[in-house]
Amino acid sequence: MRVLVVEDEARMAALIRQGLEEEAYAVDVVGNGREALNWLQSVDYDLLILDLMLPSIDGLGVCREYRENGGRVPILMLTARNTLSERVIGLDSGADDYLGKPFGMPELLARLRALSRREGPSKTSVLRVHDLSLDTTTKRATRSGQSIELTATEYALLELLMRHAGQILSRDQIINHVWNADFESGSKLIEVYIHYLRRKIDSEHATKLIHTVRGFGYRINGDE
Amino acid sequence: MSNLNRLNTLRVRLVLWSMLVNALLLIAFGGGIWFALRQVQYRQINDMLQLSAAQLAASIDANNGQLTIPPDDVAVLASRSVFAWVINDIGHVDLTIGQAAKQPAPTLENDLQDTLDEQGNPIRLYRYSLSENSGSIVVGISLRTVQQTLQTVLLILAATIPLALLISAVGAIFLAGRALSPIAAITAQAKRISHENLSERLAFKSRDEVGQLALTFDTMLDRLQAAFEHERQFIGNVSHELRTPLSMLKAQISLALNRPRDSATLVQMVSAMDGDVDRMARLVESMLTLIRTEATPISFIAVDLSDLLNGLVSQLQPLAAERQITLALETPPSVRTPGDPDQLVQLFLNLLDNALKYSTAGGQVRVCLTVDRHECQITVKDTGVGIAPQELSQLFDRFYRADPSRTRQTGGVGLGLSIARAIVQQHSGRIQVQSQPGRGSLFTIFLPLYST
Repeated sequence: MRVLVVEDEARMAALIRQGLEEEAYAVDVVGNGREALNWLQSVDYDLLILDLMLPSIDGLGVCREYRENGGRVPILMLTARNTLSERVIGLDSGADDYLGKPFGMPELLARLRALSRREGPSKTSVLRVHDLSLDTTTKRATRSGQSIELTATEYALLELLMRHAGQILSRDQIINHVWNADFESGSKLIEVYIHYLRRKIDSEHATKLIHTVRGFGYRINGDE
Repeated sequence: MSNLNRLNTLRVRLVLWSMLVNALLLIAFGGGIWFALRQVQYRQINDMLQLSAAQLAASIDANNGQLTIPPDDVAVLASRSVFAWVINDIGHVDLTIGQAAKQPAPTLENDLQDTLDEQGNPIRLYRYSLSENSGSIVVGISLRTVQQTLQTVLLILAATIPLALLISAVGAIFLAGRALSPIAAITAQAKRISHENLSERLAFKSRDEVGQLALTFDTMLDRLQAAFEHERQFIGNVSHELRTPLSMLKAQISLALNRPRDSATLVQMVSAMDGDVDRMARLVESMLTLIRTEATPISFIAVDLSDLLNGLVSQLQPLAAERQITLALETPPSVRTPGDPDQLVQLFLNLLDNALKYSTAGGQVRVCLTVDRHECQITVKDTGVGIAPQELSQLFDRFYRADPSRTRQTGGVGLGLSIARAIVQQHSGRIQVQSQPGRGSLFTIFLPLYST
């Protein structure tokens, strides 16, 4: 899951980044509205966290402009001005959810999970493919009742594949959603992590779930 | 009006007062006229009696004591309804004229006397003594006409005074109502105005006293609204300023608790929180200083500004040296101002602190104290970043910062200059600022001189 955090207070942005990265999100941070719109145009984000008070274009302006240009990424708006009218204006300008400062990290994370559930076909927090299940709340995977320990990046990669179960995901798509802008393209990181995942998920089972589609990318499904 | 005692309203009192005054006036006026009329009537009667008696005496004299009255004279007397007895020196009635024939001659105790005739009618008698003890003449006239006239006038007055009072009362009620109806309108409008719609005004257009009242009320509302707005903004700013570090604290604490962490990481996180707590503490402290300065009257003593500035500057020298800023002071000895030494220290500390904060290495901060005839003038001049012209007017506003991003580096809370202004105002002084972006700023403070 790749998230763009738009927050002008650098310390707050760093805290949000840390909290999200610890939950296996790929995070990019920008400090003003104009930059945010540029990034949204060039990168395929899964979620957008948008502070209301920003230099250049404020949060509401970003929200409106982004939605008018057809942007569909779920937006969580953050603000210190936590009045009812502010929330209504925020939601009306195209935000999907609203969180007032001060907020606790668990609430921020729960709201992000809720927003991503809203987008996907499944309304529960558990993703399933064949006998593999992934709990997006506890970040734990189980296959045939056996619990599997995953690192943050492994989890992010598996979550991405399972959210698009049956679809082929290209290397670019995977890079886009699992790693942030600091990722060096051309490295073999994807292959390495696919290798790790296969070892943890598929090696002890007859039915292989993770498939390499030569020339295209990767896919997870259990019906072959 | 409903919650007022109905009998105690201004309207009722106005009407009652006007009725009382009208009643007194009418009674005094009516009574005066009646008494004057009575006076005139009785004087005419007296004159007529005296004249008739004198005429009778004259005609008796003219006839050399003969008791015959020419018919002409009798006719004149009769036309005046006057009657008369001519009494000789031994008390015998020699002659009667008019009605006097029907009754005996009266005996009088005074020359002029009121009494009743045989039929019980009021009459007035006048005795005129003839010369050389040759008897007297008593003339009389009925008082009935006069008394009836007076009684009629009295009756008319008794009937018209209450009627006039009634009419004046109706008029007073009408006038009081007209005069007071704008007040009722103002009352109703004023009742509707509360802190929620303070921007509403009575807007009562009239040049009279009620218009003046409404205008005064409106200007009071202006001031109230401005004060309210000011406070609301202040509270809004305070809550925003407090919420920023609070949000940081909340985010840091919840992040720290979100998963198990080793002690080194926790120490790092907690020390970052410590900085935020310090910031909140500074903010609260500054707010309390500001509110205290604005709210509490100070007890003035003679403060030696030269000593005070010398002490402050030498205290700040190490800090200036650390930042490679030259800090200099020019002052004549013992310049005294009436003031509170703690507040004055706070004032100059804030200004010097700002000057040092916004100066770069190699810069200069000069403090200059000069004395005028009535006041002393302290200038604090720096060679710092300066302030843009459009921002100068808001510089002393609470929580105003010329550049918001500077706060985080300098740790200011945006109240320093508000506190400075409040202190200067408490000391009946003035504070001014001039600045050129990139060149530096000049703060000038005028304070009164201490006189013994």
